[in-house]
Amino acid sequence: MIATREAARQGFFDRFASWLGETKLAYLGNAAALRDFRVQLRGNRSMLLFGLYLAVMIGAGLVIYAQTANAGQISALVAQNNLLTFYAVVIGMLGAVLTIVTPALSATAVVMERQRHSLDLVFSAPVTARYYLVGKMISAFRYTWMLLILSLPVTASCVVLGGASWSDVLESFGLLSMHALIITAISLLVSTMVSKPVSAIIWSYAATAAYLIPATALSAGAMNATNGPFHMEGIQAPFWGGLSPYTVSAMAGTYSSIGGLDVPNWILVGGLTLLICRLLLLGAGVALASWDPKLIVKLRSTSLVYAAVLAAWVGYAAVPSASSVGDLSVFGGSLLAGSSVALLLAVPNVCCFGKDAERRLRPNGWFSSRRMLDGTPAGALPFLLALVSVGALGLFLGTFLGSGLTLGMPFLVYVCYGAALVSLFWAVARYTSSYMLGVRTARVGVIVSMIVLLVLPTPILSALTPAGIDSEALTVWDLFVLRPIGATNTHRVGEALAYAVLLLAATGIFAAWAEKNLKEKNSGDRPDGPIVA
Amino acid sequence: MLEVRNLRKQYGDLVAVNGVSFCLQPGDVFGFIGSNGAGKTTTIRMISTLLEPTAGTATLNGADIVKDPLAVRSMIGYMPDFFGLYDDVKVWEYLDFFASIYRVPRSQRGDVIDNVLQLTDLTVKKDAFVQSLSRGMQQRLCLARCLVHDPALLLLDEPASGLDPRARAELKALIGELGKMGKIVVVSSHILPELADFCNTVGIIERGDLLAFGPVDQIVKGAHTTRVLELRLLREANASARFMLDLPHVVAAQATSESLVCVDFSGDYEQQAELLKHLVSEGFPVIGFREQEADLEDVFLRLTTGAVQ
Repeated sequence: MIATREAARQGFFDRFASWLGETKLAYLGNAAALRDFRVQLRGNRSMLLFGLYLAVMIGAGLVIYAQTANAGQISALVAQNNLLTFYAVVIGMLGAVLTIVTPALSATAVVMERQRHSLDLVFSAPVTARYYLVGKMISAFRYTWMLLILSLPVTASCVVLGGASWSDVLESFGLLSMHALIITAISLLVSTMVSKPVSAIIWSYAATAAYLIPATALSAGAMNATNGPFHMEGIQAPFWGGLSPYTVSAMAGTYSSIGGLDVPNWILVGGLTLLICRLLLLGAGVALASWDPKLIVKLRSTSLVYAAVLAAWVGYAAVPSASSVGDLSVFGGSLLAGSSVALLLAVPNVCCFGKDAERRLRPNGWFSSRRMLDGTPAGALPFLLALVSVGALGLFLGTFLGSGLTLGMPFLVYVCYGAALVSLFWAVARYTSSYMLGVRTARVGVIVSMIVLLVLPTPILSALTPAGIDSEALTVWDLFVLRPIGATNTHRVGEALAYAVLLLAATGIFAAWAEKNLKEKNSGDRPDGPIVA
Repeated sequence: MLEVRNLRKQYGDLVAVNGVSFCLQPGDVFGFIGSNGAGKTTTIRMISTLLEPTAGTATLNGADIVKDPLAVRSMIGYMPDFFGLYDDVKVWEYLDFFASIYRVPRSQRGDVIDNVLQLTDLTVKKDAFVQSLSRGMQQRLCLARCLVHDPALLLLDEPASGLDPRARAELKALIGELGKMGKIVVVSSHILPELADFCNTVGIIERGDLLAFGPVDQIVKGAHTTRVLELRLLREANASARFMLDLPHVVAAQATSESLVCVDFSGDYEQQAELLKHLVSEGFPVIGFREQEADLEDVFLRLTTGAVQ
């Protein structure tokens, strides 16, 4: 018995030492990062780009300064305020530059290798998907930091003039680099999933926009909940205010009071960012590991753990007293339902199947919990539902640990709503896959359906009614079933349950159509065959 | 030692590789022959762990391609039928990158790169950009890349495609040299005569089935149950063909011209001598008598139907 325990302990230490060694190899002296870096800095292309970037930054800085300073005509207090604004605009401009440059840097990183067939050469060596993706991440991230450091002449002028302190600059740079990290991870994920560099660039910008629009909306909401956009230093504010790169300077000095402890928001945002990046890279790893089902199982099970931790982090850091979130038990559910929208972005990749992907899949049933982690069509819905469930569990635990609150029935209703929403788009993905031959066409079909059903109705409904999505009065919004982010008050809980039932009914209809199509496809000499990679 | 056991790959109803089995020892240079779509590349990709087998497995020096792919990868050098070179990278940087991902210690990388460049005759191009190399040089660079970690097994998929005759001859010599160094070399190719020159073992694959496997001589002999004899006569070719049909071990005989007869003969050398004696004693004016040498191409054409999947 003692010998067995000793052997198990030894095995654990061996595995830990091996993991440590692999981690060191991946992060320090990563060959992929070194090679990319050599190429990035070769020739005079990068020097020209850097020169242009500096010229634009300094030029824009001078223009903004000229507009804000007006020395001699305004009071010292107004001048001080203007300098603070100047600093905020400079940092916002840096955020905009990073938003534009970062997807371009990493969107083609994997797809170019796939196109020139060098990916096979790399993966015929003892290289893991993690090592490779971390290398790509480092090379893009290093470039981002070069841009940040190059902007120092402009940001330093803010410090010299009195608009900000060096610690503000450092904090802002830290937050900006976190945003760049997320955008890099989004672009890398896209790069592993598409087949052409141009598609990778277009989809990367689209996915970045899909992240930034709600993140910026959340940030704006957080700032409204406090005292305005630019001068929030030293005050308590909801941490999600730091989720947008355009509000970094305002959020840099804020904090959240959790369990009597004032936690700087940059720590909360940083942790959240790293968790999001990890999840995105796990997705990219699954896309890269198409030849290795065991690795897919490992990566998917890890992603479930990270999803739970991510949700727990959000629940822990969401402090109701700092914002207008109101009843946290409802807010938590609403937040989870909102997170389901983010999960929807994974639906095209997780649920679609066809014959032109790296991993060619045939339908092997519509629901099999045994297949939850292996990446086959039958495991798609169980995997998505598992993500919703672990997210709910994480949020429940995180909220309890952070605020001491127990999320109750309304929360459960919103969990059901989130699950129903995800199920509906799973059924749509299955339908498009059954209707179209290629997986890529099927994915585009799902994305188009999301745009038509989710994105486009929002401006139309907003134009039709003056009342907001959160209004308690009966409005035209009540006709719109697919509104996961709305309803942060108890008034909407009953409706959310009714909507969940409606969504499940629609899911059933789409799934039945898909099955009918698949049966017609497979009738005669093409019975459902084994799943093959 | 490379041991391939019942390796199978299936895509839906399509069986790309159907239970291929063979075993190779260090020093073996194995020629993998088959038409396009026969299953060569699929087999090679499964052995290189880039493709998961539907069934069966292969082991290289005890490491299983399914259970321990990373260990297998550290022992193989895979050269696909495309180059996969990076732009804006120098020759030594390209090799340094692969030496690094194959975990060659940093202190040894310089020497390793120099050695493989010397072996592939690319030393003078060490600081050149890879896109500036000729096709033959790029092919040699790819081979050099496969050698940076001193692999036990080299998987070369169509290595000679697109090369000019000189580059092809150089590549042949290099592969032969690698075999002599004790490496297992698997080479797939359409160009059969060149495989026969440097391979000591061949396998013929069609529609996923390994039709023949073994040493070249054995395969050639095994594929021909009869020998083809070529007789040259001053005249009476037709008469001699008719005469020979009644002789023992003559399966078929046909005059292909006024002076030439081809005979399908099932006997051995002694019986060949008897046949000649009969012809001469009957007064046929024989001026030439030889056995047509069968080659790999004959064997390939005889064993395969040309069908693809």
